[in-house]
Amino acid sequence: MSDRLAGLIIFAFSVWYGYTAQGFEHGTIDPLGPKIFPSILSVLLGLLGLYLVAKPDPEPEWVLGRPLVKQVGTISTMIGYAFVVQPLGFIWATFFCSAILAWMLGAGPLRLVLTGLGLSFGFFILFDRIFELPLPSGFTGEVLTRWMF
Amino acid sequence: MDVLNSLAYGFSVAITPTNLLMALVGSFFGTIVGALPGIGPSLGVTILIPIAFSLGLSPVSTLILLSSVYYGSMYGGRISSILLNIPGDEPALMTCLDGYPMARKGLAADALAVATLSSFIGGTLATIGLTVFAPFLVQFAIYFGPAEYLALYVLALSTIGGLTGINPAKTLLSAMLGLVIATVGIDASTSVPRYTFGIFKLYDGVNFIVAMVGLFAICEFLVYLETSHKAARIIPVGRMTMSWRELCSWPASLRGSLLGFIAGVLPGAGASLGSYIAYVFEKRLSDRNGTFGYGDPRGVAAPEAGNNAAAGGALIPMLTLGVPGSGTTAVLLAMLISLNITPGPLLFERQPDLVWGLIASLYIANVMLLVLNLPLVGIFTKILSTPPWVLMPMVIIVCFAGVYSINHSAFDILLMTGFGAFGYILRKMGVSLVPMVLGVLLGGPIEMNLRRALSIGSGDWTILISKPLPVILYLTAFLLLAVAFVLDFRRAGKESAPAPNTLTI
Repeated sequence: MSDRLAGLIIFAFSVWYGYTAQGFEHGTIDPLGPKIFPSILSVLLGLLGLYLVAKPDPEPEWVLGRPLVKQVGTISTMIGYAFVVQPLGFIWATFFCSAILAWMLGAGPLRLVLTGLGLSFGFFILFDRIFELPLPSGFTGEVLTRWMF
Repeated sequence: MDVLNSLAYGFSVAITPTNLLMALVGSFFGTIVGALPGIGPSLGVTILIPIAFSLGLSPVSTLILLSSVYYGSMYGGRISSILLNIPGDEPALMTCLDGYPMARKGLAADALAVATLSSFIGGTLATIGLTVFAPFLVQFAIYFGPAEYLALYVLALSTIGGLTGINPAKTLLSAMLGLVIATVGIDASTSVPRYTFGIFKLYDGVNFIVAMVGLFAICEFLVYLETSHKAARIIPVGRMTMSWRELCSWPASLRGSLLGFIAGVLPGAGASLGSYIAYVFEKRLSDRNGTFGYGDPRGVAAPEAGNNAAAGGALIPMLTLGVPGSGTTAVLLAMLISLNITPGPLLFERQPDLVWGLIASLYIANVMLLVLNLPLVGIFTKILSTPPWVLMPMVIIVCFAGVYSINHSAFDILLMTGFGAFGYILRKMGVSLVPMVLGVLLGGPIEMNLRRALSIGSGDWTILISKPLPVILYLTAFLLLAVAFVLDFRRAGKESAPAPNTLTI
């Protein structure tokens, strides 16, 4: 069932993908142009999608219950991280993110706070200061940078 | 003698303090990466790339660092296989079969030593193979034109699933999706933006390191969350009791090395297959008293020699043809491309320091790994007891920092997370992610070579099959695919279970 559904989605996608490709115009003498390669891909992809609909594998064992909650939680945490890392700065975004992840992996309150603090400050100093890989510093990072150098 | 001269030159490059340090750091880090379950070689190499870039390392040093991690992870995988009965990474799966029973009999130290020595034999022989065969293949590959390259890429993409038992349609699908992702962004030769949805950040296309970190690291973490992990009981190492002759297991190691090396050179096979066929072959050949599976040292030596030899062998097509044969070599290739270095036959002419420096470093790294893994194995067993609630967040944060620093963009973190979730769903459905990574990586070169070939032929498509070599390559791809589909149909006729784990190495 999952395979059939995936096959249908892929087929629909390939139709859209191929249709969009027809709109790519170009004026140069390039023999291929921007639309031929995507058009070829869309045909092959569409055929593979139909193959999956026709001959699906046995149903995979989807994860349910607590692990699923954890997985969704992880993804949401990461999406949240992408949005807060620049305004909050690396240190506090990382603190919250790693504490949440540690909590989901079964760490107690003290341990998750320690993990969060260790990873956020440790990696900020390691990457931003020592490796000179600029990370969004935020207020705490600025203070730390001035205090260290 | 030409080869010896080149090798001597390579050693002069490799013996500089920076490069020696890179080999040592890489070997050490690689062993840890290999030993920790849930962190595989492709992930270990991927997360180091942004860091290596930002440190401003030269291409030679970067390549040495990452290849040492690759070699090291093949050594490290055995530690958790033997002491925990959990493979540290996929190629170490076969080592569990006899390594863990040995450890339970109180022979943990011996099992570790057998595995280290056979790894050293496999790794060194494969490096010798690389030294001898790579220049040979380069002379052949120098005559490759766009049509030949196109055929070679098609072969690589269609055989990457190989004969792994994964549904071949899904392997092809994975590769196609990778190629589709590669078409996002401004078209290189006509400057037409494709599939960008007007999102400015997508004009440069999807950075393949972002895609790789998502598909390998984030996806791996989601798989890790499926089961609740308790602190595993590590068997204490103890002392060695066996003689050196027994520890070396020469015949098993040599046979394992040869099989592994061949598996490594073939596209789409890689280290997992190397250790698998080495074990199965050794068992068929030497298991006279039914000792295999109950702690036979030869059952440890063969797969360990096999996976290390395969790792070395897999570097041959990557360096000489620019076609990666496995997930980890795809990552190494991506790294080279990001440094504006095009692997392939010309690499040997234009940048001999890079190629021969790397090869010489691999000899050095193997010796370092032998030393690190024999007397200092205790350090790694300590690291193995790091609790997961420190380790896994640490990996994720390194991914965040690394991906962020490529373009200084939080959008890439979002993209990486998306790839992780997408990859996870595909992986659950038995789709291997390695072909997708290859597709993302090779999409650009494939389209470019198609264009060049058509330009040469003034738009005539028959130029693609006008010479014998491309025809042979297409026929090989077609045959291998046909065999894979036939096998799949036979399997579906009997009882069929979805592929338990997709190859990621």
